[in-house]
Amino acid sequence: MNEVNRKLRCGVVGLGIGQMHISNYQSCPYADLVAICDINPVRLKDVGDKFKIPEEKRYISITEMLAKEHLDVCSIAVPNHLHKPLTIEALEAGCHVLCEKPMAMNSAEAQEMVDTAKKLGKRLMIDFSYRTSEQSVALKKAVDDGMLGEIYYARTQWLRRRGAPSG
Amino acid sequence: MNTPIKKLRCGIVGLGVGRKKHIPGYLSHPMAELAAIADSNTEKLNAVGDEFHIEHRYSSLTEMLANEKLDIVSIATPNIFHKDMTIEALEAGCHVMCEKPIAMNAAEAQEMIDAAKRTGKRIMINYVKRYIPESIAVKRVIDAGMLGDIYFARSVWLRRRRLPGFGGWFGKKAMSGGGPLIDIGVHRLDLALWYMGFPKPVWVMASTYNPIAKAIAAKEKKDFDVEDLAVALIRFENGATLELEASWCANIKEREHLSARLLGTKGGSLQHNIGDVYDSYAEIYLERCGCQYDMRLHEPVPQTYNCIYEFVDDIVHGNPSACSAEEALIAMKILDAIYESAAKNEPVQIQY
Repeated sequence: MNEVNRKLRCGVVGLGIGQMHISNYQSCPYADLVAICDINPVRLKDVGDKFKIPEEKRYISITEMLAKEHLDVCSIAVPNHLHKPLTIEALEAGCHVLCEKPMAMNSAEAQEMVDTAKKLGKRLMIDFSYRTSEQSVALKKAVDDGMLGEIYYARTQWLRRRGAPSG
Repeated sequence: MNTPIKKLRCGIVGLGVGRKKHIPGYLSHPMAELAAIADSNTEKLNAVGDEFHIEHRYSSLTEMLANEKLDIVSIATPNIFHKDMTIEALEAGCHVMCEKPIAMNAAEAQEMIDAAKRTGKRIMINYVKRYIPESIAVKRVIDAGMLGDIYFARSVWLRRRRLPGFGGWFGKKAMSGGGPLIDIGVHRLDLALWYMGFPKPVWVMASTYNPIAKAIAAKEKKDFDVEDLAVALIRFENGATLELEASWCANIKEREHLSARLLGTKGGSLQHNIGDVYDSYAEIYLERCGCQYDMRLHEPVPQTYNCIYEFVDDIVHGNPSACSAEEALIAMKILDAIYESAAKNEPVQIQY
């Protein structure tokens, strides 16, 4: 089935965009969403209730979750300044990590994360969700098939009129 | 007491765009007299002369200037001739209406400015895109302060496949100075700079390409050594940024795509062509009372005249003329830097 021959034990840290991670793990036949973590106890309870996570599997501390749950996979979906330390902590606890975008605060941090993953032989994937949209997948196939030839100019944008995300 | 005012005697050299834009321009102003035309192509000279009933026809500018006392001369020849012919006309005592781009490069443009100063004559560049109703309307909104400070602009003219006079001088760098950037990109650049109030450009990062036109030229055995796409990011001393794109060939949806977007501290604007032709619309984007509003330009739009009409009118009334050589020099410095950046594969700082 996979490298461990059982469903992967998955945990999610950060329950804002992390809620997307929870439902995606829950919908994946090879994943068991076993634990969640957030420093905000109100949000932890609300999200835990919403996704029917047992109360003893809800953690305030990532360190405690990693120590107790023996996770195969850990999602890091916290504010950007915590991506590096929490990713490294999860990697060092033996997890593959799915980290939210942007990977880190800067490329020096990103390099540290890559180095750590390499050293520990664990995977580090970034949640660039638009790559897996149907259109993106179709376009990428066309590109890989050589339909566009060599791409020499690209322009990509996401402009919002008013839409700064709330903390 | 009315002093009878003499009509201005006007001549045109170059009867490609000269026939298309300059003749109708002079004919549109009651104080302009289209006195003479010149072109090295005798067939074209006679065809245009017959069409517009112009008797005074010359095979060269020099010959025309020697035989005619002209007040205004239009220079509508290939870019390589703009500088020398402009200076020749200025020195013969004429005001000059010069086609865009002003010249092959900024050094030539500077020479032209020096000559205009020396002779006390005017140069105006035929920037037709400033004189469409939508442009005049947007500029009024900007001048009234409705957009605040413009800190970002994007101005583009992309064509899917349309090479002007393919095999002719447009595609030969030695005669044109460049491809779509200097041909149609210069219109978009001028328009954006005009909207932005001609801030001082300091950095340019650009690329040029020619895979499509080069392949067509090879197939059709034509000479072509300019770009078919140019893209550039221009940074100004005031912190503003301008994105510029121009193509004759690009694998895009639209046959013709012209657009100018402005982002200001108080509002934004977008001007866009409609349906693959040169009709355009203009919108202003504003926040009022915490809500987002769109303000669309509707009929009746401002009445506009062409560049040539304006030039004649300003001379008749002693008013300063727009689209000056000084402004064209700023655009030319940017175009030079774009080609340099593309050739060197690195950003270029504009030197002063």
